[in-house]
Amino acid sequence: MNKTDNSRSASARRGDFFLPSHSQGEIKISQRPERRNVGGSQTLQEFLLPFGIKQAPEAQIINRSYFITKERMPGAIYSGECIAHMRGPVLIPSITFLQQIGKQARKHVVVNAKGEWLYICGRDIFGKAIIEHNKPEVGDRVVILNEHKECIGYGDMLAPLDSKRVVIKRLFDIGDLLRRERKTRKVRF
Amino acid sequence: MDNAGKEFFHKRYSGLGWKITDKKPLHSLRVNTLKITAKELITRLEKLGVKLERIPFTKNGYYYESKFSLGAITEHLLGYYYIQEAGAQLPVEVLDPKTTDTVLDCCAAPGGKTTQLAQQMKNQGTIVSFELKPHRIPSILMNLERCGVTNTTVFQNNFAAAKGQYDKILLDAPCSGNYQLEEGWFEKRTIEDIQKSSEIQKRLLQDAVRLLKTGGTMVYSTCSLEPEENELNIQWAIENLPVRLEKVNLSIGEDGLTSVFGKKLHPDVALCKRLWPPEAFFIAKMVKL
Repeated sequence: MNKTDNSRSASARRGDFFLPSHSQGEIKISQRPERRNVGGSQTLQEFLLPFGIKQAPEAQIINRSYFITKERMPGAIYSGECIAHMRGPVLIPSITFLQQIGKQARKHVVVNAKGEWLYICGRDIFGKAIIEHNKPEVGDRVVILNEHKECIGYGDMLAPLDSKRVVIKRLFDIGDLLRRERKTRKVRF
Repeated sequence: MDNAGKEFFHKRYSGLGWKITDKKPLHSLRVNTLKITAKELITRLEKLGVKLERIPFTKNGYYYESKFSLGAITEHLLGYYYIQEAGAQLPVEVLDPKTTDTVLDCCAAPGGKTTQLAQQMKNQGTIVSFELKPHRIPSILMNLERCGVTNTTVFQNNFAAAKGQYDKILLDAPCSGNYQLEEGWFEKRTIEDIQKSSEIQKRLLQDAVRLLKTGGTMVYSTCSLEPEENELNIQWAIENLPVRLEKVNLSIGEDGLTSVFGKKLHPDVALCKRLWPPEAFFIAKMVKL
């Protein structure tokens, strides 16, 4: 956890106002009581940086998710455009925001239809599934595009693209939506 | 039992003038034009081997036949379509929200009609959605996210707690359902369940009308076939609430029943639409006086 996160969670515990830091394009956050849960999660800017995206959108946190919203009504659990959710220490993007990341990310690979299907089922990417790329290197955060150039997720590059083993370790794919739904279906309040 | 069971309900439906058929509803979807055009989607799905046929009485609906589940492919996950029964696509079309409207969606989960409202409003105007049951909240949030809805605010609460007045209200009321949607429906439901459901719906109608602007439009719908939850509730609304009925302009379905088990109803109830299976829906449109 970095210094910013520590100071945020501490101030949240005290009930202090979060002071926005606009200087480096970080999101503006104003005080709301339910933001106490923010402590420990990545900021949007921290999440976007590995993709080579420096400018994070201005967003508000509602119910452990980030939203771009004009008006925030008290008690709302969803408002405006959802862009990301907090999941433990990391953020996961919304399906719509993922498409924006896919367009702006520094490194990408395009996978064939079989690779796409396996990927949205939660598998990693093998070199043979990649049909196009812009020369990502080992260690890069890479967005995964399908043949229609739609972003279906992202991962970290583990090995050169010509290897016969897993070359991209899956971090997030759009199938997550279905897996989330199945998980929540089991929960009864 | 003399107040439940397949035979009992079939007898009721025959008494209401329906010729019972075992015709099953066809699978259908609605193209989410917020994200893709129908032409593009059709091309993509047909390449995957999905057969599509336009639903003639909806704006964006298609019947489909597919050898695999359409709920788990990329096009669905990216929100290009919503799997929704043909009949369920009609209440929003009847409400016909405009891009400048403020719309209240009363019992919103799982969000099919909410996403359709947003689509029809081109993600403009304002939708305020309420869902009371906590376990149904994740489904609406996921569907709004998937379909790229940006003009909606969701509350987990009874919609009676809503503030302000609305141009349009969609009250797709919780109901006893119908035998096509639920296996063993005939064995699970009695006439007492339906009467209880009807009482709840009357309360919902009352609350919804209170939140409607004078001159505003409300659509009341259920997927129930029972007159207690449909025509008889509308009769009650005419007698007890400041509303008048408007004609539901649809090319399918029958006029609302004006004679139910020997009881004569207000002639305006005929302005509603009753869709017997396979579509199985009841839709009433009213304006606040």
